[in-house]
Amino acid sequence: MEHLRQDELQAYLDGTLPPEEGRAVRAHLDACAECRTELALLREVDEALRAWPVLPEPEGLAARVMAEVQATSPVQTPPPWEAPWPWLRAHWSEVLLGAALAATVVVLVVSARALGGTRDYAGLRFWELEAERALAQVERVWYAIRADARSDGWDAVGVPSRPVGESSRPARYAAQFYCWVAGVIAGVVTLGAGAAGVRVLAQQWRQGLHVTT
Amino acid sequence: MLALRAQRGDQDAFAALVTRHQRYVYNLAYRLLRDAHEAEDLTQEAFLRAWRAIRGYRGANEAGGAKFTTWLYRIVTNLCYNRLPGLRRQLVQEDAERLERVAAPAENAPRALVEAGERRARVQAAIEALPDKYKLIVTLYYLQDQSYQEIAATLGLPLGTVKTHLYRARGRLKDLLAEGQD
Repeated sequence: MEHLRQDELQAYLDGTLPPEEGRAVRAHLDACAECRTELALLREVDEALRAWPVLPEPEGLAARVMAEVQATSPVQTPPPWEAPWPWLRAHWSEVLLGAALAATVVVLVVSARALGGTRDYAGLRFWELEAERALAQVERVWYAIRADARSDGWDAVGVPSRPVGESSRPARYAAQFYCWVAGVIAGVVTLGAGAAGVRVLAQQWRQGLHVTT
Repeated sequence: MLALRAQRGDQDAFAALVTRHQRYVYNLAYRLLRDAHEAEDLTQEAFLRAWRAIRGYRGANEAGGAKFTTWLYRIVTNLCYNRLPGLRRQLVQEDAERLERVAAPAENAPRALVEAGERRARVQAAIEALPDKYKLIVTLYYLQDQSYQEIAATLGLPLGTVKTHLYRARGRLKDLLAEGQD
């Protein structure tokens, strides 16, 4: 016969087993002397823990607590428009989180606009064109080296020689690309700050000290 | 309800709460810190924090709320974590040992009962020597009469972890008694 587990016995002792399991444990106990001995020992432990002496609190403790309490009013939280600074101090984590989310949205919108100058360059199409441009650049460098820098139109680093002032597509692509990278970095940083804010909020909630001086 | 009146700034109501709970808060602190002066200090600090934060307290009938004792002991245990740096980590980690089945007693083991008073003294000494995490959980369960769920809410631990700690604490004490019996 398999004996009862410690957790089953203890839950039985605490009266927290569901009725059906409780009946099964009782039936086992009726038939098993070892488990009955075990239960008797656990009962003894239970009694000893209940009998753990409770000390009287020091004389005048409540009075000393109340003396401190009287010197401290619980935090009054006036509306933020009346006292913005204390409100900000008490709610800085929410403000930080809100600001981080707002900043992320702004950065994403701005970078999307920068990329979406024409429909062709928006979204995934942009990356496709970037890859195409990079391949073309490699090809140009190869040809430039082979055909010598003096041959028509290309210098040794593969940048097309065009009249100054004429907008080159690669240059515009590069600007958009760096803008996108900056946007992503800013987004990650602000989301990180937001996550830190949430963590602080959760911590305050756990401590039950959301409102503090 | 006293907590609600205290939330509105009623100091008499808060004084009644202090009077009602001071013994339990003090004993919880004393069992963990083992120093009367520090325990008193922690008790005062806990009530002062509770008073400062009372407006943030949400009753059990509100969303995300808790019983006043759960909320108060949460403050107390957080203050204990500050004073006992390893305690929180101990509580979160579950011991690797499994909860075993009742072992069959050794053949022919003499079962001479040790005198009852001596057994009680041995267990009391062992209770005092329990690791802090077990003392905390056992005190919340027996002294504060908190249910498994309330302890889990107070300590911010999963229910299973609370049960395991409680079972292990009692299991240790029981093993000690069993040794004395053989």
